[in-house]
Amino acid sequence: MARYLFRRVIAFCLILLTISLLSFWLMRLLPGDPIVKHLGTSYTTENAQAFAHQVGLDKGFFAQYFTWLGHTLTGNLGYSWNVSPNTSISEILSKTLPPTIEIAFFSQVIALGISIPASVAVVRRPNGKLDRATNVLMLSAYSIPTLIAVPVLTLFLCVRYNVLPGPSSWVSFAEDPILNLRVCVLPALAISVASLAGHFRFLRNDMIINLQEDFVVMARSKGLTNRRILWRHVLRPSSVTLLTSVGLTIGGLIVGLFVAEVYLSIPGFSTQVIASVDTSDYGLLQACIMTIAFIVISIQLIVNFLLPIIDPRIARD
Amino acid sequence: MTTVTTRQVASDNIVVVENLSTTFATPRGSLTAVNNVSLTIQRGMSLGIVGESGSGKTVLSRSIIGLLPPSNMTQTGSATINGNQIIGVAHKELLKLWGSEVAMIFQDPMTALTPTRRVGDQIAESLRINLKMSKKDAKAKAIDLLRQVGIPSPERRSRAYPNQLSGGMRQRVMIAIAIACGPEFLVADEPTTGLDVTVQAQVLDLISELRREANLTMILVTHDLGVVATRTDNVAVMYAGRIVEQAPTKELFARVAMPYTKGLLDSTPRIDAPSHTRLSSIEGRPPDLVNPPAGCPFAPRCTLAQDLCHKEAPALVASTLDPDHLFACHYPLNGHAAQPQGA
Ligand SMILES: Nc1ncnc2c1ncn2[C@@H]1O[C@H](COP(=O)(O)OP(=O)(O)OP(=O)(O)O)[C@@H](O)[C@H]1O
Ligand code: SF4
Ligand SMILES: [Mg+2]
Repeated sequence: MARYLFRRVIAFCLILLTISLLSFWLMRLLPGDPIVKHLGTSYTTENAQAFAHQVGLDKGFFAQYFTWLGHTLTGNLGYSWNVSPNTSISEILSKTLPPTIEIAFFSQVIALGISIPASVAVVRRPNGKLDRATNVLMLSAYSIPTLIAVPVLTLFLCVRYNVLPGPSSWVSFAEDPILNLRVCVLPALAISVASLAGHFRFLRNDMIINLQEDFVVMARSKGLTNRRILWRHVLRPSSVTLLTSVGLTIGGLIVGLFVAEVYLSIPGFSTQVIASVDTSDYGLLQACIMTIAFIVISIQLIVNFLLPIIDPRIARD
Repeated sequence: MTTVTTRQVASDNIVVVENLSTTFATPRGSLTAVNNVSLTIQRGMSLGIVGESGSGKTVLSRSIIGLLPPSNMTQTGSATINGNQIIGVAHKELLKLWGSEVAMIFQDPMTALTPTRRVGDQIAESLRINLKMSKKDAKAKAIDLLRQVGIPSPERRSRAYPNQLSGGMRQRVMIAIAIACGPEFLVADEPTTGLDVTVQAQVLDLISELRREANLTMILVTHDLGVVATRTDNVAVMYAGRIVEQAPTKELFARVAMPYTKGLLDSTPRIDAPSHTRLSSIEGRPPDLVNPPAGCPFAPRCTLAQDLCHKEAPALVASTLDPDHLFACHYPLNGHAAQPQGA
């Protein structure tokens, strides 16, 4: 167990290092000059040189990289240049991450909350009417882009039926938990539709395969109802692919999150990602990329750790 | 075929099967896996079912307890357990029997135990559902049952997942599940195939002991004629979905009537050979069950076959030597002859 964790942690650090180096290099190839963006109309050659010298842009690539690495490892993420000039990046992250993580989390709760009972319902008759109808429904939901889902849901849930707060009502959980959760529902719902079809498909297929297994006949011979067999005997061994899929989905949510955050004026993290690309805010962008990498890889680690707990037949390593 | 059942007037027949057929719809056409089978089992007796792979042993034994998925299957005839009809009744009716009156032991305890649930929970679940026990009582009883089937440190083992136990122990767990709610009728489908020889004997001894204690009736499906000889009261031999010979065990081994059964016996090196000898060394292959040949299904492989065999299928009839010895053959061995009808 200790060895297992040790190896995972080493791999984790190596991946993060590689990503940091790659992104450090790639963002310098982006069109757009951070100095021009920073100085704007007050651009003069002297000002430019002074700024470049101040932030270290006049040094060589590796000198820049290792300076950044040293600062980051000691917990100093630096300051934003252009998105919110002279604000500390740690402050930006600590303010903007919570709403985005919250919405991403709830989107998966909703996607699982729908796909699990749906799968259990349809596998009783594979390829039956209910199964086919649900498949079509899930696929149609899948093909709705967030760009359309958000305004349509807003129109119905906020304007027409007025059951949820509209755009620009964001408050943090600490300020008003109830309102915070109510605001989360809409973006989470809009983003969940993208994950729904995948989760449903994986769980449904694995359940159908497991329903052919002897342990299902055994459970029947014990006098258990079909309902109990599905929920207590078939669901868990069938959720391995599903869990993996949840882990892989998370990273891909960022685009949908951005759309939702912009449309609903939620002061979230994905807004910072896009804005920092836009303004060549190297320090903030690098911090954002590392945050995403950290979250995605951590989720993979957690998933890998959970799989043998979900299905004891899966060995660790 | 009704002559068979009415003749056995012995009142206490727990299992009565009459003209049972089970047919599967397959992409190639309908496949008759069990063809017009009739049999009875008296309370407390054990019936061995033998036959080559694919002869329908599993389908027959599962049909009798109603445990086949209904999706691509049709059945005719009747099967009753303790007078309860199994064929064609609603799932709800079968649920009342399963677990409490009938139970099943599967061949491969690795695939037949739910991999994601602790074995103690899998036993306790049956007790809670069928006997309406409380959570606490069921847990205690589950540990008792594990002790009863000879699992050391049952308390600790009850918390194990199936893959953490040895094959023999898993089979003992499955037996514990099967006997948990005190069933009267047990179907054991090759319960020891895949276990090593000493464990096989231990598991069979355990089953015999539990049967004696509870006067359990049993169907024992096996490939192993050594097991049949020592563990069963009667034997039914299956070929291509039919019972082709049936007799008290001693009688069958003393004077075989069917050339097919003789082939099975000859293909086993020794009667007491403990290893699970696969019965497959008879020349040729069993017939296609989708397009069965006319006449005796064994005729293409039978050394004694004559013209009549290819034209007319022999019926299962009682022998003149022993009315309990039934066979389906035009030219039986060892001086057997068909009793005249109506005798
Ligand atoms: N669900 C099903 N659908 C279609 N055909 C089936 C199904 N189940 C069994 N069969 C067919 O029925 C026949 C009898 O199968 P069965 O499993 O009863 O044989 P068996 O005697 O138990 O063999 P083995 O010794 O290998 O276990 C086989 O030809 C098999 O292919
Ligand atoms: S009926 Fe004929 S072919 Fe069939 S087993 Fe008897 S002798 Fe052989
Ligand atoms: Mg079988």
